[in-house]
Amino acid sequence: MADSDSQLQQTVRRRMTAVVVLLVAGFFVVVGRVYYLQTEREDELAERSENRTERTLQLKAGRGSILDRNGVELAVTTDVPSIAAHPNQIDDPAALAESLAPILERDVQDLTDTLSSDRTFVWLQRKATPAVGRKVASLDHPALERITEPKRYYPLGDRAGQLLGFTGVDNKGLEGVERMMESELAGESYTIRGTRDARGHLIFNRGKPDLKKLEGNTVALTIDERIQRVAQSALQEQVEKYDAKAGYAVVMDVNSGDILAMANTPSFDPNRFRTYDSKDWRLRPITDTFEPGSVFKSFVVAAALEENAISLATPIDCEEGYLQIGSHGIRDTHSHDVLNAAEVVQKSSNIGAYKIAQRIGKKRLYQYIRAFGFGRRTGLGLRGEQPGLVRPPDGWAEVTFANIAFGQGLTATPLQVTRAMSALANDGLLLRPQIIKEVRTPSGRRVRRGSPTLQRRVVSEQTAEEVTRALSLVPLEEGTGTEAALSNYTVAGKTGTAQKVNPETLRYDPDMWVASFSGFVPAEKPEFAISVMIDEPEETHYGGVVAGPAFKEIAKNALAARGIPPMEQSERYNLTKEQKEQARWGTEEDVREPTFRPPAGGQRPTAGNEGRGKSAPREPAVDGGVPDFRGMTLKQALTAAQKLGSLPQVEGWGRVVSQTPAPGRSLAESDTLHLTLAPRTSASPASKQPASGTAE
Amino acid sequence: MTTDKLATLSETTNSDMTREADRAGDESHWDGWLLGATLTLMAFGLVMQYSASAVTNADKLGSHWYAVSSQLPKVCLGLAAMVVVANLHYNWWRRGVYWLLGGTFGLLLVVFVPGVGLTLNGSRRWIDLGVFLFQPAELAKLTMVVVMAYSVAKKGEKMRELVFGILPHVLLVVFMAGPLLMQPDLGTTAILAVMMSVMVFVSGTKFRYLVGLGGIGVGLLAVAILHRPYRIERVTAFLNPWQHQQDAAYQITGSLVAIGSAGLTGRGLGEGEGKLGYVPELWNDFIATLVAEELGLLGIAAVVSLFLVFLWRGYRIAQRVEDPFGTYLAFGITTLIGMQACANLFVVTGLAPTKGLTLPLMSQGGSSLLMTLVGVGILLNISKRPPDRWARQKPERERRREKKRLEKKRQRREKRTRESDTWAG
Repeated sequence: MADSDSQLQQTVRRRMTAVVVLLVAGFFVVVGRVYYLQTEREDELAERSENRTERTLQLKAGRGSILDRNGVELAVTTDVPSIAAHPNQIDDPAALAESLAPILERDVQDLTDTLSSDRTFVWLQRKATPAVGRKVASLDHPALERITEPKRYYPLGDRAGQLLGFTGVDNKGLEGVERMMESELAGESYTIRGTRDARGHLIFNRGKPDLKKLEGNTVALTIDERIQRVAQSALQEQVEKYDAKAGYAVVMDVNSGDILAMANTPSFDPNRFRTYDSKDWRLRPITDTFEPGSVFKSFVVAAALEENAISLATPIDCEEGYLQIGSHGIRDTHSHDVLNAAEVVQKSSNIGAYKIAQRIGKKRLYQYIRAFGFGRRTGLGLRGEQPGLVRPPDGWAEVTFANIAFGQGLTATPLQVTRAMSALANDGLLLRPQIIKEVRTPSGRRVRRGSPTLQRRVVSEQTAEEVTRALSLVPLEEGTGTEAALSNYTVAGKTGTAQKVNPETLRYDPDMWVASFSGFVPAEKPEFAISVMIDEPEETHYGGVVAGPAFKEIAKNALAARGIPPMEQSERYNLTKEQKEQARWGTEEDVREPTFRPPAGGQRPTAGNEGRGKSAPREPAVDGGVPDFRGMTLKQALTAAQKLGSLPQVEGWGRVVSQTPAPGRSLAESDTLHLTLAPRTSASPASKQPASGTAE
Repeated sequence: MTTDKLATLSETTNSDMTREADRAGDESHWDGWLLGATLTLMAFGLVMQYSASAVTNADKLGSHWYAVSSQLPKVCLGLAAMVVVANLHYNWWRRGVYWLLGGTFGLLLVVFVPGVGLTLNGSRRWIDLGVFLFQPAELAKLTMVVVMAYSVAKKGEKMRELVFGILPHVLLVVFMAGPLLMQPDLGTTAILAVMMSVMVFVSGTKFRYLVGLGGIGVGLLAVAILHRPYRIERVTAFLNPWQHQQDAAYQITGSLVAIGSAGLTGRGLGEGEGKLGYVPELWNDFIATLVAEELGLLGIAAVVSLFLVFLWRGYRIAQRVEDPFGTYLAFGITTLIGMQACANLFVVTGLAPTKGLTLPLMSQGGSSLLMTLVGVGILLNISKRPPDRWARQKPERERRREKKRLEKKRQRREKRTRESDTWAG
């Protein structure tokens, strides 16, 4: 019994040992298996791991702010929630859609469809408002996600909207300063390695770079938001009052070239850029060109003064308001007999301006026009700036020359006009306009600073002062710009009432005008050059009446904003009526030597050598068969003329804009066929006929 | 007289020896290695549970501490149970074996009482006890070991016979399997069957019976698997995990990727990626995945070493106790825990198909921990080789009872004598 007992005990012991050995072996197998997985299979499994968890995100650090010259924020970047969903994790899409629809203001059915897909990720609303984000958070649904994204915000709404431009969904500047300064404003892009969890969420557990350092630079503009505000509201007021199509205003610091305000109506709020038509995004003071009209006489007179062709006292025969040039006539709004040069400016005589221009001739005038910066971009740097169109003088027909003398037949942007005006205000020095005051890094270091850039001297200091004196007559009682006068400051400026080409007929339309006022204050010690243009006003179209009040409003507020005190009465130009007589600015003989030669160079023609004597009216034409050449190219015109058996005399280039004899008249009475050609651009349609200077 | 004296002498010697033995037993200690391994595994488990679940719990429950804070009461309860059991003589399990069996079976049925039983993930396995959800199946495993130890120890030599050695035990498994398979819980049923087989095997049954038994078991398992599509899926997923990465093998492939990609040195504690939802139930069945991922081969070696210590000490306790029941009980409990650990590690490393098997002492959960600690308590008690005072005092109790009986008899006789005397007198 004891024997079998111990035998059993031995069996039991053996078998127990066997079981335990088996288990121990099992444990060793496990260790071996882990070793195998972590060595032999490591690479393969690590790759699988990376595929499922490794995500790299290409991110951009925050975009820099845009400030006005005083540090007021015009464009900032804020973090807003974007709402996303993981549709594959939603059990009841309909119920979720039901509760989400009112928050996101979306259609329930539409939302249900979106949430019913088996995609792992779908955006529901990018860049939602914080309120929407909070409401979504309160739903506390595991399949909903809020992702913070940077959004560009323009705190002042439509203030300088077109200038600032806007950014796209990816925060890239698309228009305006946002686009121009993209490289400065954009935050540096960086790669961030994240871990993706099984539900698709990204976890950034490997550290972020110092985002503050990577943020974009801050751009301070030269704009003064207070002046900008006044400019916009003053424009708005005039545009509404005269039911105009649009309005444009530019305010420039004459001493530095800083653009203090650049406005156009209708205004534009970049926060909601999608709700606007893309044509409203345009910063029209630089992208649109106009025929400047009588404002241009300021520069013509300046050129003639500089050339010593006239003095302000030179009497000019204004032909009682009508002058025939070839088959065309030019008119004055009010007929004058003889005016002195200053009065030509003050009363805006077209004929007077032409007569003054004749004294320096086409080429000289052209050189001055170019020297004043017309016909080329100002170098402001904003995209879409137009150079304007100034044709070379060898293409000018006599009537074109006359037109140019009063600002028709050439085009310019409001900015160009303002800059040229500010050159007169700045002792004849033409500065490059600038919009960027400075660029600072996020740490505050200044990396770029705008400084006044002299482009050239256009006229001498003396000429500038003389023109200023003439311009300061404009707002006076007998001038055209009385509405622009300020009580405590002297305003120097010029009205403009430009005819506009109807793009359909390509002729000056008697109902389409650009009313403008361009000038500077205070006349004695100028600070601001201001231009206001009202496009296609109804009822009345005189620049002084339509644009003058806006100029006054802007000037008044700009002076107040910049703290420019009124001048002592003794320092001001004595321009009261009695004093005006004795301050006749010398006599006709008092012509000084030219102190400055325009940089355009070239032969200096003697005054009045060119373009004279062609003002005699042509022989009256009799009825006959001269065809209408207008609108033809030179080649077409020549072919047509050949049929008549005549070789025409051709002036200019481009397409025919006028002809002598007039269509339908007989060629027999006239010895030669004269054709005047001018080029045409799609940007600013050129008229098929010259301007007469007034409404007919 | 001589015999009387001898009797007295032997009696005194006997009682002296008993007392001495009692004293020795009182002075002997619990197995420190076993206790140490157990506590280390539990502490290790808590750390890994926190690491495994902090992210998910912070996200879903708003508290990254949830795993630890919910597990600590269960740990305390388990340790208390362990201490109580360790101070209860293991023979009581033999004495109360039928109560235990009845109670376990009752609890397995209670699961089906509506309002008491709880259904989670499609299985009716739990009873809500407030502190935690109790899983009677865990109790069933321990009960199985106790009943088997009792049975094979009692049968001794008879275990070699088919009728005594095999049949009653197969019937026992079938009896328990009924409610378990209704839950359904094939895993526990399989463990019960395997434990039964192991106990039958070590108690000296013939190999051919065992082979037959194994054959029948494998056959039944095949039927059980083929009967349920999800079980077939699990097996095919096991055989070809990478083709079922997105569905049936999601968990196991996630585990393999987590373990393998970490390399021998691991990612470092807390740095694991499997916890980001790639290995579901990481804090529970797949806690070893996290150990291997974060602590590398060293971590797994540490876990395995602790279980090897456990096996060594448990087996040593079984060998050192002279009473067959104690031997079988200690061996059974050691094997039960070691086998579950080993099976769990096999599943986690892709060596066996996925089953709902926890890693004892380390995985999160109440029932498994509680029953494992009760088992450890029994082992500790056996390790002390305590004197069974109740058993030793049995003759004395019987003598006392006998004495009392005789006394009563005598009194009755005296009374009768007195009465008859009075009557006579």
